[in-house]
Amino acid sequence: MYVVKDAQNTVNCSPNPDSRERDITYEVVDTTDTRMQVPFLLRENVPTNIVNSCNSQIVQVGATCTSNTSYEPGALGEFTDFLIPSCPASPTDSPCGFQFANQQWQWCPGVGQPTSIGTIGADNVQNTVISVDGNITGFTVGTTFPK
Amino acid sequence: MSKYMRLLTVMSLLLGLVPLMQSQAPADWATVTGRVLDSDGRPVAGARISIFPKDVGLSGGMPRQPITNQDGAYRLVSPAYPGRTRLCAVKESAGYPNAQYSLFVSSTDGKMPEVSLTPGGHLENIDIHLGPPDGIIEGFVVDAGTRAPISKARITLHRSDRESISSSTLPPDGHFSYALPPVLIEITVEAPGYLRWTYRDLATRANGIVLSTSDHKKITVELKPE
Repeated sequence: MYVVKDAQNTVNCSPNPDSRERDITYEVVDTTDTRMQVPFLLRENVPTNIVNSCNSQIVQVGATCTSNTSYEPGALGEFTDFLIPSCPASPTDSPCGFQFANQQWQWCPGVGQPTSIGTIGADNVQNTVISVDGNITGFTVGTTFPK
Repeated sequence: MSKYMRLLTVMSLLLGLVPLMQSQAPADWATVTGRVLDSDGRPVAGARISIFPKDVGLSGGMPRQPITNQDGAYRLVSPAYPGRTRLCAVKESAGYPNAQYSLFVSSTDGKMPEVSLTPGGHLENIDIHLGPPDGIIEGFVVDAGTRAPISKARITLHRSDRESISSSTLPPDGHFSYALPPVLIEITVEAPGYLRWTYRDLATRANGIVLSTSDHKKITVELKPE
């Protein structure tokens, strides 16, 4: 699994402090470095009970092998991970956000247990900066992640 | 087991997978419909609907962003995120940037609707009224010597009056295009093995660009090897 696009933006949360959004698009390849044939399903292997300190809500994660048009990889076998801490609930709630100790993406076979296709590492998703595996400025296209 | 039984078993297994492979939105998602209109009230076709959940953190996929039809109409199908979800219409090529992002906010922007999505709910007539279009800058990033496109470049825009950034890797052809509000925007481009490039206005000597609403500026960014 490797990076094909990495974009980040400052999000307008006026009148509260601004936030961040980081959208990382990955392409999934098989062991011979060939694009995975779509359709295939993915899930995000992260805890499902992480609380976002910006608003005390549980973070919405893609932890289930659901089948729907929005979450499936596109025609080129690529998918985008949207990392969004949302807006601070008040002017005094910044900095805020949530963390994952180790984000991992898994392939969901039709039968059997999900298997890892990419282990990203630690995510620190704050309204002031978003760190993915220690990277805050953005990955270079082609950056790969081990299974 | 006979050949017939084996075939039957395989077919049953394959048929069992069909529901998993079919793509459809879950029943508990919300639907929003409406139109996108320009500052004269005319429909805007080909605009992409961007959403931002303001009150809940997110990691993973987001719903597909619908595109408006010839009547400016859209139909968004989305998870029912808790709290408020903000909608924005984006059509960079016509001067309408993603105003969810601070760097692209302009005093003349239209108001972005905020909605509460409920499981299985359907909101109608959520129209998005755009302000006047912004100026546009577009171009390509090339090697200063060979003029070949640079495939691993990153472009970063910085707006100091709002302390905001917009940064993205570029596609293999090195093309970029932005609709920008009429304020000073600094632009830098970097790529592995090349010196950093910064936009400098030759007329004003400013380290940045101020586009007026009618501008459509085309540039070529020439990166020099380190």
